[in-house]
Parts: sequence; structure tokens; C-alpha cells
Amino acid sequence: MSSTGAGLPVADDMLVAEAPRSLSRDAWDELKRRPIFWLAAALVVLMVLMAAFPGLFSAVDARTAPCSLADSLRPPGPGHPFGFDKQGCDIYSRVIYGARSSVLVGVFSTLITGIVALVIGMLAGYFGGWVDAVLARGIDIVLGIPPLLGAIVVAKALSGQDLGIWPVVLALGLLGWPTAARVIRSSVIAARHQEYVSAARVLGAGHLRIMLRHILPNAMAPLVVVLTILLGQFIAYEATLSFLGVGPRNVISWGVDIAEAQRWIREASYPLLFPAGFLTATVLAFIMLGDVVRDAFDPRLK
Amino acid sequence: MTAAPPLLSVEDLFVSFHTRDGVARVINGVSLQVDAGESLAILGESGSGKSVTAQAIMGILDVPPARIDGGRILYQGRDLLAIDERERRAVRGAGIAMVFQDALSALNPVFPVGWQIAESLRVHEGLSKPEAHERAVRLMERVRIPAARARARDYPHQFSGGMRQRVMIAMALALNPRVLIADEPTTALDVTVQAQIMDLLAELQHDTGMALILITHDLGVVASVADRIAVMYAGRIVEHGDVHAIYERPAHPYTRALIESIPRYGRSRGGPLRAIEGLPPSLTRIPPGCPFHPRCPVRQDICSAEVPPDIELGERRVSACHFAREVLNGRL
Amino acid sequence: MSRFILRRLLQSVLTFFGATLIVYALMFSIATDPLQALAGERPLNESQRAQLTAQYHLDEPFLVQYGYYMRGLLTGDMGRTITGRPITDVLAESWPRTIQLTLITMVIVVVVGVTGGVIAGLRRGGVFDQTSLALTLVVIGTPVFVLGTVFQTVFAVELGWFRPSYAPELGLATYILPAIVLGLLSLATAMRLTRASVAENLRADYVRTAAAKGLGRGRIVGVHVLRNSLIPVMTFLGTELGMLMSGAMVTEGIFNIPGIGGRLFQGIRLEDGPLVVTIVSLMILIYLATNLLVDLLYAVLDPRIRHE
Repeated sequence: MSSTGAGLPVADDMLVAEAPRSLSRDAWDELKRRPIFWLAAALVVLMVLMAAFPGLFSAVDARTAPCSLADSLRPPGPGHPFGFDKQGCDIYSRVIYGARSSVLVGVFSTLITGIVALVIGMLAGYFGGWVDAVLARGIDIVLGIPPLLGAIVVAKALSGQDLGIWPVVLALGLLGWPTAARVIRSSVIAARHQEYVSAARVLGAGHLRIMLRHILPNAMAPLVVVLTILLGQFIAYEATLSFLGVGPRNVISWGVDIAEAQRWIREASYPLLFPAGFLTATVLAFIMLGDVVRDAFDPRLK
Repeated sequence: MTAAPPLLSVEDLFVSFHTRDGVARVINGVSLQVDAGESLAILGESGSGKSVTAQAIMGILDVPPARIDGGRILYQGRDLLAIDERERRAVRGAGIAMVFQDALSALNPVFPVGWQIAESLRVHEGLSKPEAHERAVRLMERVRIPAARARARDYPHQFSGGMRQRVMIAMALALNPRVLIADEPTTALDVTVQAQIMDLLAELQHDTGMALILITHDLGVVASVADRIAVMYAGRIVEHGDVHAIYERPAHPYTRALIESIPRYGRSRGGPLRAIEGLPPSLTRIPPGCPFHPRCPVRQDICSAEVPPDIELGERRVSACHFAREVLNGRL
Repeated sequence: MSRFILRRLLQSVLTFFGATLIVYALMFSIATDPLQALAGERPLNESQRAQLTAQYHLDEPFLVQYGYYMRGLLTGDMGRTITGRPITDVLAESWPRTIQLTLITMVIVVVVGVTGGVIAGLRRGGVFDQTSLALTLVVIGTPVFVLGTVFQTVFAVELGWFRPSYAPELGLATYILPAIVLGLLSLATAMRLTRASVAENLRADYVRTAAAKGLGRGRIVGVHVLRNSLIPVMTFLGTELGMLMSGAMVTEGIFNIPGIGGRLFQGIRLEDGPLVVTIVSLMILIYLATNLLVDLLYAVLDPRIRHE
């Protein structure tokens, strides 16, 4: 019953509908407003810096600093704000240097997960049919393996060799992709039915081109959200694996420190609480970030 | 005309919504009335405020963010806005009932339809489950749902669109309401099914003598069922009166534009479709003076300055346009 | 409907064999010295090697080995632990404890989590809602072992309200602190899920219809909204139950509870290969069975699924 029209001179501000707002611009406006976003982002940046440049935060290099049993469980004091652990090592520098293994494992396993999930999710969602059926079964199978246990089994299976953080990274990366793949698959399926995809096909675009140029951008937003949250969870997993004694060897790790501190918990609690606090803050930062970005993109919450 | 007061009368109703983007004045001084046995159609585009009017009458608006800023809603002489919630609830469903547009989402998906129809009877009249169920089946038969007894155990998603709408109507009729408000009852349906539902409503109204308020944006639907029509724009009633009189000779530029925008077979062949220019205003920024003036093809200076009064044109015909008489007589 | 069940059953069987095959493969084949991986860090002498090789058919093709393993598993012969104890005995002893822990945990999760979620969903944006959102977020973000050790430190060691470790003489009460720790994560997720579901259903059209019928708020929420909102929650709880029953390794480990998870934790610490692999296989079985049951539950609760 109505239409936009030209012709009669009319009061412009009465007639012009509001300019259409894109989803990402809306989302960014929304994000900018929320203090949680800035808090989480700041924490993430802080932890990444700590992992990359521990020297900025701690004068003492925890990897080489000597630990003296004479300092065993000395409480926090000047120069050593977090005190000493049972072996007499300075907790503060260990906490700072411990960030690296956690963040690195998180980043690399997320990278692996992201790539595997993207490929599988894309193929399954785009081609459908038996390709989807086979890949979906694959997803089911990997999902059937309890993740923590699977990671432990992989880590133990490689336990004979000293491969640093890579067993854990591989374990997490190869076990974490199913959930992300499902998310991608859903958005690919949704995008596949859009008309611009049919249009591209009619114009002669090949599958690869369609996948990359038309469908991928739609899958990016949910993928980023899932990966951010997954990163936080991977960091938690890494710490848990270290706690259980199957984590990366010969590296300083929050999980290992917490495990050690737990044994002497009746004598002192700060060797436990400080690494635990940093770990929780880091995991929370990523999860909150992913959460708040997801909320910003969810049109239903407007 | 009649000495007795009308069954339902809305007087000068004002409703606003307080949102993050500002205050939307959704209903701005709406007055209407309907009597037993009469059917009134409220016609308007989306965003004109017609559904909100219905919900305000029913008392089911979410009161923040909505706010009733003024006016009275008189049902059988009582102001519904002045009584407490418990009494209001007694009227809801039993005195005034409502049928909604999309039956699939308006019905609860996890309960059988018979149960949902019977619920009003169990709650309002205290009937036992078997008694209420029996009445529900009877009602389903009344609205011509085949195999009603068996289907009473089915769930909403197992019905077709038209059948679902009949279920909604049965549910609304359960307590023999005196007023039935139908909010776009056929918009989601196919044209042939639309006709069946409208016929059903007309027949039920005839049988029960209840008043019918039909809310729609579809002029064709209006013509078949309504006695009188009220045209809404930007939260105001811009014209109301007898439906045939208005169709033949509208007295408001908006009504006239609506009627002329219907493509008619044979007329203006090969010419452009006549649409109303522009868009309805955002209710947070309603234009001053007459709300229609930015789009009005015959607007004058006074239209942007003063809000038009309700001009009586005789025989219960009213138009809110400064030049109502001129429009009526075709001189403008 | 029965076609649906059959299909899911087949899928589950496929998944079970696929997953256990992978676990088996990981355990035995990736390591350069599978014998050594089985025994952990203890060195093996010749006769032990010979015995392990015979026992695990390590000189035969991989799939045959897997076949032997599966046959053993499915016929109830689950072999022995590294110390020679029949694994079936170990399981029979440990599972009841895990079940007890699970029950108490579920009670906490339902009572606190679901009820809290309903309240938060009803008063969305209110004080209760905002605080619970913040708290649940912290809980979800904190790794279980951190929560466990911190709680143990604060409530058992410092405040002395609970015993820090498993004390069978206390009966069911000994599970309370571990159940709280274990339940916190499920509780937090259950609360958020319930809250979101309730909030979403409150805005549904059928709520408006119910109001138009003249129903009171109590009935609208208590009957109409709740019945719809709790569907996803119930299915979530079902999955959680399955996960809990397979033993919460970390929590049982921290509190020294000799349940399935605790045994697994010990098994890892002591590097007991056979025990670990067997328990993991059983966990996979439980996981799949629970998922299947939850899917059926969904169909029971939501009539729309039934008629697909």
C-alpha cells in the first residue's frame, strides 16, 4: 500500500526511512558499549603480551633462576610479591613465565582445530549428500571420545618422547574440531540456500570460488566466536593435563605449579592461589570475549 | 442512535511505548464503539496501531514498556482501566475474547488442541476435565473441524493453517464472549481459506449476536464482513463510518488513496499503479499537525500546523481532516 | 519413530566401534614402543615383554588385535590391570561410589541450577539475574581442577567445614563437597540454559494467547511456559547425567574418591595402560547410550519431534 516515491516536494526528514544498518556495524556499536568487552579484550592482550614478552613483566627469568630450599614457602614480601613455592622458586616469575605454555598451546591447538573444522564443515555443508553423511559420522566418532581422556591418551601415547608442547597441541586440536565443524556446517548450509549462491552458480562460478567468496564470509562470524571460546577451553585443558602430569614436559606451566602446590596445601595456600588466579583470569577472558561477541551478533537479542 | 450505551466503547485512548530509541506514541486519542451484533473493522497499515488497540482493550499489553497514558475503555458500562487485575481477568476470555493472526505460534505447541480449548472452561467455569473436554469437542464441531473428537487429541502442528485458525476461533468462543476481536485472522492463510474463515466468523456472529471487531489491512476482507469501518493512521482514527458509504465516497485523503491503490480490472490499463508516496512515520517522531500531511496529495498549509478535529458528516460518519467535506464532495 | 530409533542405534554402534578403534589405535600404535607405553615408565625385562606380547597379541595385525580387544570387552573379559587384578573387580568396587556422587550432584544441579534459572529467567535483568549470570560465568571459566583445589583449600583445610578427602565412615555426607565442585559447572550451564529458555518462552505468542484467555500469571508461567522451557533443560540434564556416571576424573582425584574417575586418575598416575583403555571404552559406551536415550526423551517431551 505504500512505496517510496519522487515527484511531489515533501518534507524530507518526514519521509526518508532510516538508512539500513549492517549486522557487523550494529555488532561493533553494541560491543563498544559494553564494558565486559573492553575488560576481556584487555585481559587477553595482557596475557598474550605476558606470553610473548615475559621479560617485560618479570626481571627474574624463571627458566634459569636458581631455587633455594632455604626459601621454601616463604610468604610474599618485597621483591617477591607472590612469595616462594615448596622448592624455593619465586612464584611471581614462574607465574609470568607460565603464561607462555598455556597461551601457545591454546593458540596452536585453536589454529589446528579451526583449519580442520573449516575444511570439514565447509565440505559437509556445501556438498551435502553422501559427503555430508560420511563426514557427519566422522564427527560423531570423534565426538564419542571423551575429550579430556582422549587428550590424555594421546599425550600418554607419545609420552616416551620429549616433544615439548606438541603432543598436547595435536591432541587438543584433533579432538576439539567436531563442535566447531558443526557450527560451520550449519552456517554453510544456511548460506548455501541463499539466492546469491544460485546466482553465482548460474553465472558459471566453480565450487571452490563459491565456497571461498560467498559462503565463507557467512561462516566467519560464528567461527570466530566458537574459536575464541574454544581457545579459553583449550587453555583450561592444557592446565588440566599439566595438573594430571601428562602435560608438556620441561616447561613452566600453571597446571604443574598448581598440582605441586596442592600437595603442600596445608602448609601454604598462595603457591596454589596465584597461578590458579592467573589461569582462571586468562580462561575467563577468552570465554567472556567469545560470549560477548556472540551476543553482539545475535539479532534476537536486539 | 440507540439510547442504551454501546456494548464496548473506547474513549480517547492514549498509549505510548518507552523504548531505547525514544518514546513511541502508538495510540493518540483513539475513540471507537461497537454494539451487540455489529461488526466493526479497524483498517490500517502495519504500524498504524491497530493491534495495539486490540491488545489494550484486552488488557494484555506488556506494561512496561507500554504505558496507558489516558482514556477509558467501557465494557458494559464499566471502565476496564479502572478495575483491578483480578476483575479484568474475569472479563478476559469470558466477556471479550481474541483471535490472533498466526495460529501456529499463537497456540502452545506441547498441549493437544482439545486441552487448550478446554482450559478456559476449566479455569473460568470450574468444569471438570471430562466435561470441559466434551464441550471442547462440541466447539470444534461448531467451527466445522471434521472428525473433531479424534482431532481434539492432536497437536497444533498437525493441523493445516485453516483448521488451526478454526481451533483458535473455537478457543475464543468457549466462554460465549459478548465481543470477539479478530486480529488479522486470515492474513497468514490462502485466499480460498480466507473466504471460508470470514464466512465462519460472519455466521458465528449471526448465531451468537456477539459484537465483532475485525482488525486487518486488507480492504477486500473488510467489505465482505464489516458493517462499519474505522481507518487508522499513526495511532489515530482518521475516518470512521458505514463501510459502503466510505467505500463509495471516502471523506479523508488517506482512505481515498487506499481505495484508489487497489488495482482494479479494466481501470487504468497500461498506466502506473497508484500507490501512496512515502512511508508511514516512525511513531517516535510523528509529524506535527495532521500525521498524514507529508504524504497527502492535497495537503494545505494548515495541515502541517494544526491537528485536524473530528468533523461530523452525519449518520455516524466522522473524518479527521481539515477538509473532510471537500474531500467527501470531491472538491479536493 | 521406530525407524528413527533404529537409525540412531546403528549410528551409535558405528560410532562406538569407530571411537574405540581410535582410542585403541592411539594407545597401542602411535607409541614407538607399545609395550613400553603400556607399562609406563617402568623398564621391562625379556620375559615381561614376551608375556605382554602374547597377552595383547602384539605380533598380530592391528585389526586382529583390535578384534581380540573388542571381543574381550564385549564378553565381559576385560583383562587385568598392570598389577594383575581383574578389571571387572575394580569396576564393581568403584562404580557404586561414582553413582552415589552422581546422585548427590544431580540433586544439587536440579535444585539450585534449574530453580535458579527459572527465577533468573522470570526476572530478567533483575539483581538475581545479573549476579547469577556473573557467577555462572566465573564458574564456567574456571577449570575444574582449580575449583576443586580452591574449594578444598578454603572449605576443608582453612575453614574445616568438610573433610578434605573421601571418608567412607561419613556415608553419603562425604560426597557433599565433591558434589558441589562437580556440580558447579553443570549447575552453571543448567542455570543459563534454563534462564535463556524461560526468557525466550516468555516472549512467545502463545503466552499472549493464554493471557487473552484470561489465565492468571501463575498458570501461564507454571503450566504453559515451564512445560516448553524445560524441554532443552531436561535433555541437557540427561546428557550431564551420562557424563557424570562415567566418572568425574579430576574431582574424584582431588578428593581421593575411589570411584571410576578416581581409578582412572590413579591409573594414569600409575601408568596402568589396560585399565585406562578399558575404562575409556566403557565411558564411550555410556556416552552413546545416554545420547540415544536423551534423543528419545526429546521426542517424548516435544510432540513436534514425534511427527517428523
